[in-house]
Amino acid sequence: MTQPILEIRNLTRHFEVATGGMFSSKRGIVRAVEDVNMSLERGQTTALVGESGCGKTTLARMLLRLIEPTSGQVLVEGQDISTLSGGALRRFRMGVQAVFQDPWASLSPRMRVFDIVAETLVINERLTKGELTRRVDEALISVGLRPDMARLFPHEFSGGQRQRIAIASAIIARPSLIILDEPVSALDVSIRSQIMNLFKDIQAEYKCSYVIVAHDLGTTRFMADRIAVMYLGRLVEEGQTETIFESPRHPYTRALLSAALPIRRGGEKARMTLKGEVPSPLDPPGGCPFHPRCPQFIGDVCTTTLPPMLRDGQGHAVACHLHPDTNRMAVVQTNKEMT
Amino acid sequence: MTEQTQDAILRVENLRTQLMLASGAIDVVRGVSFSVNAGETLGIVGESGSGKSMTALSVMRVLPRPIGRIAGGAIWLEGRNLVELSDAEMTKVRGRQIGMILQDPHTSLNPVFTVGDQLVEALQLTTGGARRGLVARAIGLMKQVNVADAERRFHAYPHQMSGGMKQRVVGAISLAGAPKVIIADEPTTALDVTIQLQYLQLLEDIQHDTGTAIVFITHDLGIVSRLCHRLVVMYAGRIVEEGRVDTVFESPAHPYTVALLNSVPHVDRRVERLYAIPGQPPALSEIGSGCSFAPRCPLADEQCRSQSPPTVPGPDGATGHRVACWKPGEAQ
Repeated sequence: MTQPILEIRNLTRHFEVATGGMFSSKRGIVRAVEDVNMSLERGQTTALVGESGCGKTTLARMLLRLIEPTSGQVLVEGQDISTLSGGALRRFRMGVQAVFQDPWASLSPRMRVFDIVAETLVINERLTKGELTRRVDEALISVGLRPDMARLFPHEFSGGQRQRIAIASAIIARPSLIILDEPVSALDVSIRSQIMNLFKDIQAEYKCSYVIVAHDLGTTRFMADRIAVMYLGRLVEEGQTETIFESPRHPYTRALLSAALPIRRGGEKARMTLKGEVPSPLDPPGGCPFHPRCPQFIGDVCTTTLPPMLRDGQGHAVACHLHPDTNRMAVVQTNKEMT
Repeated sequence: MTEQTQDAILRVENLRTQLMLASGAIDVVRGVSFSVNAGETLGIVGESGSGKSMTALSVMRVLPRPIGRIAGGAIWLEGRNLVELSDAEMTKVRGRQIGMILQDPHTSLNPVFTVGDQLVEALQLTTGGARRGLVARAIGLMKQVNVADAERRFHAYPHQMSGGMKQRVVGAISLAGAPKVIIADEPTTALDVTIQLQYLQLLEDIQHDTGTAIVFITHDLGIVSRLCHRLVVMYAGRIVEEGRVDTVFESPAHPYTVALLNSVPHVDRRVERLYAIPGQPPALSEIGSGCSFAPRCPLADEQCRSQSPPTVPGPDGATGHRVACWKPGEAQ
């Protein structure tokens, strides 16, 4: 097997927060991301799925090195990104790009489209003016805009077009990995499908890999080769998109899928409504973090023991005591004890 | 496009709403008619700029001041035309006869009062009475919307609650006056999917218990499919299609509805490519004389571009199915 573009090893991020009143010195720890392991093959797309507070955005930000991990590693093309500096860091900043949710907030209103799109190259590469213009034109054409639009300002564009500008600025340095954080949620329904098709075209053209953070399951089914389901900072299930959608194993994944509302009626499976809400990540439940809401709770083992993430021969991993198959391999056991 | 029925609680007729901008008046709602019956949920579907929220604000008479105004039409609620009521009379209608749930629970509640105070205030305004007697009723309302541990949460401030819990409280406030109609403008957009499902079920339970009519404004066709009995589809300030949800989803007759249904990525199966509607919705200031969807419509011809289409019965003949199109039922 070739080297994966991205490998995440025991990645953990805790935030210290004040939990008392305004003048209290009481501190608590939010376990935003806890011991996450996964990898992504070149040219593939993996989706991080979960509800607000599950840690998917914190995880995505660690991949961009916008947040440093508390422990664990992120390896891009085999290199631990926390060790990078100088030229290697610059190459990383070029090679890993991001497209964010809100194209009204992510583009500087005072810069022309040309400068927005060219910025990565201007900072990181020495190009002639002619070469730079050629690259900007090429990026704009790739995202379905006209080169003459480069002299305009962001406010002269609609939301869908702005997101195209953000995509052009992400692809201009020909990155190998692009982090997409809810890239279509701020767009209108009729524009979303244009942009989602565009992401697929870009992937085919530039052979880049995507990590997409999305809460809409229709979007993830369309975009992703693999799905990673997070709950309270931990991965609870990970596998091929079709496997996850057709035969989800973790009760949380099942509940999440059943909460998605298909537009056609008929042949509907019985819906599984979860009781209660996601507990506070300041004080996650012991044992399996999902046990207080789990409709398939099986007893003491759920409240006392954290289920290990076990992967079967097809690469489908799940962390749940309902699936303790002994012939499956533990992926990476929680290694708090070892360190 | 009104289904004339005896038990329509709310009937909107040929509503026209304008915004007065520095550049001139623009018509944001251009002749919208619909009705909703007791115990019925009507979905209003559309994209940003379609006029769906402006329709809701018009019905509540809470258009942005001073630029918004109702330029024509009637809004009949239990025999009274809301368009003709004075501001003082309208204040009595809001909360008592029409309840409203807005998109963002974080901004709908006042951060400096406890949720209990806000519920009691709503009860005082809608039903009157002394504060002491209303506390028990407020806690009852919180229980009705499934706020767990309501006695304790009564004393909580909004920031101490989750988004889903806050939206339940907003729902409880809208129920305070036992309204005949609840207008919900994208109430679940800010909620997580599992919480969204809980909330939709709550709305159904409330409707089952109280018989209230619900007008649910959304861009999410999945929610319409799950919750609504009938729907109207809006585009550029007009209703382009109306009918029972089953009818419209199974045999959509307007090319825009067809395209919208085709462009949604499916949760229940994988496709390689999504259908994408070319172009973008028109700016309301630039609408010409023809069908406003014509520039994006694969079927558009000269007539579509020059003349506004009439509203006709859907080609499948289903009851209440209407469509504003020169070529109804031709799009696939």
